[in-house]
Amino acid sequence: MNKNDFLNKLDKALNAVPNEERKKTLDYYSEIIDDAVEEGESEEKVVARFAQVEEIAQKIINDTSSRQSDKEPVSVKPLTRGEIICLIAGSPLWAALLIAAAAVVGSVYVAIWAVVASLFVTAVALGLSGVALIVAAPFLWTSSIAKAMLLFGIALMSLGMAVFIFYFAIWCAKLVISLTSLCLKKSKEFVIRKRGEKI
Amino acid sequence: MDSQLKRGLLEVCVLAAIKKEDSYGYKIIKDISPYVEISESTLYPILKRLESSDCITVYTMEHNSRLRKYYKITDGGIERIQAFLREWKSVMRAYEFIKEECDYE
Repeated sequence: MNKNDFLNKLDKALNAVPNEERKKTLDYYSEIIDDAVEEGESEEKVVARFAQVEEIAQKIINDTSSRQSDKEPVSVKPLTRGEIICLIAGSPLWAALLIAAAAVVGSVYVAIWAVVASLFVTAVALGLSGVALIVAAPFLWTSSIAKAMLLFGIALMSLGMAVFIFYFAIWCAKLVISLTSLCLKKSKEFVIRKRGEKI
Repeated sequence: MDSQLKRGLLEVCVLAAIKKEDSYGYKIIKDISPYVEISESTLYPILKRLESSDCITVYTMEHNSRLRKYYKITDGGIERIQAFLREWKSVMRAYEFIKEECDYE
C-alpha cells in the first residue's frame, strides 16, 4: 500500500470523526510518510510499519469521543457572531416556546399539588364534621333517638374516613416530593451530560 | 506494563525529546524508539493530550515545499518533566528496596 492508498483508506475509516479532526489525523500521517521517504524509506515500507488502518481509526474514534466527554466543559465554545444573531433574531419564537413549555410544566405540577391539597382539605372537613356531629347528636337525643343514633353513626364514619384520607394524602404528598426530586436530579444530569461533563 | 503508567511515561519521553529543540513527529519517534517502544499511532494521541494540557504548543513551518508541524515545549511541559523526575526518585528508592530484598533470598 502506498501513501495515497493508505490516506484514502484512513479517510474513509474516519468517516465518523469530525472534519477538522479527520484532516489533522491525515496531515499527521501524511507528514510522517513524507519525512520517512525523505530519510530514504519507501512509502510502502513506512505504511507497512503502521498499525492496521482500522486499528488506527478505532483509536482515534475512541479518543475523540472520550475527549469530548472530559474536555468540553473546560473549553465551552463561545458562540459565533452568526449564532448570536440567529439567537436574537429568533428570540420571539424560541422565547415564546420556552415560556409556553415552562408554563405547561409548571401548571401540571401545580395541578398535581392541588389534588394533594384537596385531599388534605377533604380529610380536615370530614374530621371537623365528624366532631361537630358527635357534639350535636346528644342534643337530638330527647326529640328522636333514631335520628340521634343515625347522626352518631355518620359522625363515626366521617371520622374514620377522615383518618383514612389523611394518611392517603400524606402518602401522595411523599410520592410527589420523591418524584419531584427524581425529576430534578434526572434533568440536572441531562443538562450536565449535554454539556459533555463526566458524571 | 500498566497502560496508564506507560502512557504517562511516553508523555514525559515526548516532552524530553522536544526539550532541547522543537521537533516533529517522525523525528520524535526516531529519537525515542531506541529507549521505549512507540509507534506512529501511539504518538498521535499523546501529542494531542500534551497540547490540550498546555504542555506543548504546535506551529507549522514549511520544509521542502510542504508543511511540517513542529512541537515546542511550554513552561508547563518543563514543570511536568521536573515533577516526573522528583516523583521517580522515590519510585527508584522503592525499586532498590524491592530488588535488594529479593536478591538476598
